[in-house]
Amino acid sequence: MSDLFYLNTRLHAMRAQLLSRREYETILALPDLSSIAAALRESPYGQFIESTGGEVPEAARIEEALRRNVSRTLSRLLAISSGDCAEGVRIVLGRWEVQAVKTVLRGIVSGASPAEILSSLVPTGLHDEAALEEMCRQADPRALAELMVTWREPLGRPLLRALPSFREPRDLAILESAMDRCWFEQAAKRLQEIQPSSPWADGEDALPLFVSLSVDTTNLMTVLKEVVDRIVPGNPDRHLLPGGRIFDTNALDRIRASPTLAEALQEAGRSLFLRPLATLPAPAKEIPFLAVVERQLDRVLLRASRGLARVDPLGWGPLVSFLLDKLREVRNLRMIVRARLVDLPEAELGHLLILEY
Amino acid sequence: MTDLSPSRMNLLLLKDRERAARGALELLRSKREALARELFAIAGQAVATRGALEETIRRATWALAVALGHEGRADVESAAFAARREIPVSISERSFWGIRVPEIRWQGIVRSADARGYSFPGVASATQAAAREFEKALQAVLEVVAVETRFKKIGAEIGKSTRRINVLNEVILPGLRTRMRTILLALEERERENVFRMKRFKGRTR
Repeated sequence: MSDLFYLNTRLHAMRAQLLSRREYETILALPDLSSIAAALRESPYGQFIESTGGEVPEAARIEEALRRNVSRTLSRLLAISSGDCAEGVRIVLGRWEVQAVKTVLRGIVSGASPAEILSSLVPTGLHDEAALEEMCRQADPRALAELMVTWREPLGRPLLRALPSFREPRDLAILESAMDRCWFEQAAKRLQEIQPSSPWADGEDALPLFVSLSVDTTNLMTVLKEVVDRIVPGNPDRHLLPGGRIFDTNALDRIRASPTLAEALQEAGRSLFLRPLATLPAPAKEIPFLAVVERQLDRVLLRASRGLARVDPLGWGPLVSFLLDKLREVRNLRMIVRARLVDLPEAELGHLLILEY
Repeated sequence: MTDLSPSRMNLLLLKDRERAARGALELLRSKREALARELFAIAGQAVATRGALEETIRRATWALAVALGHEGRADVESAAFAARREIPVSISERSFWGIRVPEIRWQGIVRSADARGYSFPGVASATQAAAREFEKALQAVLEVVAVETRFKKIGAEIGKSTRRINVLNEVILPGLRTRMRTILLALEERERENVFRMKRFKGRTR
C-alpha cells in the first residue's frame, strides 16, 4: 500500500492547487470575461491560459486552458501511480477513456476529419497523442475496434462483439451501450482483484462506492430522461447499467412508470437520494431542469467521496474526492464564463454551480 | 398608335381596347384586394413566428451555454458528431391568383433523446436539452422562412399589381380615350365637311 500512500501525499499537494473559497468569490463577483481571464492568469490556470496562443476569443481561450488543465491533471495521476494504485487510477480514468472512444467512433461514423475529432478529445494519459491520432485516422468502426484489439485495449473486444448488431441499423447507441456496460463490468471485476485500500479501516471503500454510485446516478438520470422525453424503450434493461446498489430494476421501473418528471422525482426520493432530491430548487424556465437534477446528483457523489476521504485519508477516498473536486472546479469555472457570455441570470447560475469547499 | 387613321374601324378597335383595359383594371383591382387580404392574414402569423423564433433562439443559446459550461466543448462536440444528419425539408409550389407561392414542408426536425444517434444515458441532460432547443430553433427558422417567403412574394405581387393598375389608370386608359376623342372629333369634322360639300354641290346643280 506504500504506492497508495505516495499517491495520497502527491494528491494532498495537488489539492492545494484547487481554488479557495476566496478565489471563487472573487471570480464570481467579476462582471466580465476579461477580468475573469485576468484573475485566472493569477491562479494555477495561468500557464494554461498563456499557452493557448492565437487570436481567439477570451471564452474560447479559457475553455481551452481548462481542457488542457484537466487533461494534464488526469495524465499526471497515472504518471504518479504504480502497481495496484495505477490499476485503481485506471478504473477511475476509464470513464473518460470510454468517452474518448465514443467521440472517436462518433467522429468516424459522421465523417469528421481526424483533426476535428482530435480537437474534441480530452486525453487522459491512458492513450498518448500519437495513439489517439492513430485511432482518429481509422476508416470505420470495425478498423477502430480491430486496432484496439491489437493494442489489447479493454474496450476493443466488447466493441468488436457489438459490431454485427451495429452494422444493419448503423445505430451508434448499440456500440456506446456496449462500451458503457463493459466499463462498469470490468471496473467491478478489477475492483475484486485490487486489495482493499486499508484492511483495518471499517466501512465502505471509496473505489467500489464511486463505481456503484456512478451506476446509480447514471441509471436514475437515464429513467428520468425517458420520463421527460416519453421514451418507451423496446428493451427496458438495455440502457441500464449493472452494479448499482440504491436502485434495483423494480425501483427504476416504478420511476419510469411515472407520468411526469415531478412524480418520477418523488418516486426516486423514496431512496437514499431523499434529501438531495427534496432540496431541489423549483424548475426555472431559463435552464433545463434535468441539468440541475444532474448537478444535485454530482453533489451526492462529491459529498460521499469527501466523507470517505475524511474517514480513511490513506485509502482510495482522497483520489476519488480529488478527481471529483477538480472536475467540480473546472465545471464551475466554465459555467461562470458561459453565464457571463450569455447574461444568464445570477439565480439560475447559482443552481448550476457546486459551491462547496 | 398616335398616327392611327381617323376611321370608324379604328374607333371601334380603340373602343374594344378600352373595354379590355377596363376589364383588366377590374381584374387587377380584385387581385390586389385578394392579395391584400391574404397579406394581412399572413402578417399576424409572420409577427408571431418571428417572436417565437427570437424566444426559441434565446432559450437555445442559454441551453447551449449551460451544456458548454457543464460538459465542456469537447463533450458537446462529441454528441454533435453523432447527431449530424441531413435535414428533411421539401419545397413545393402552390398557385394563388397566378402567383407561384413556395410551400416548405418538413418533418421530424425535433427528435427524441433516443433518436439522435448516440446512447442517451451517456450524454448529459444539459447537452440533450441544448440539442432539443436547437432543433426547435431550426423548426422555428423554417416556419419563419415559410411565412416570410410567402409574405414577401405576395407583397411584391401587390406592388406589381399596383404599378399595373396605375399604368392602366394613368397612361393606357387616358391615352386610349384621348385617341378615341381625336378620332371622334376627326370623324365629326369629316361629317361636317361632307354636309357642307353636299350643300355646295346641291347649290351648284340648281
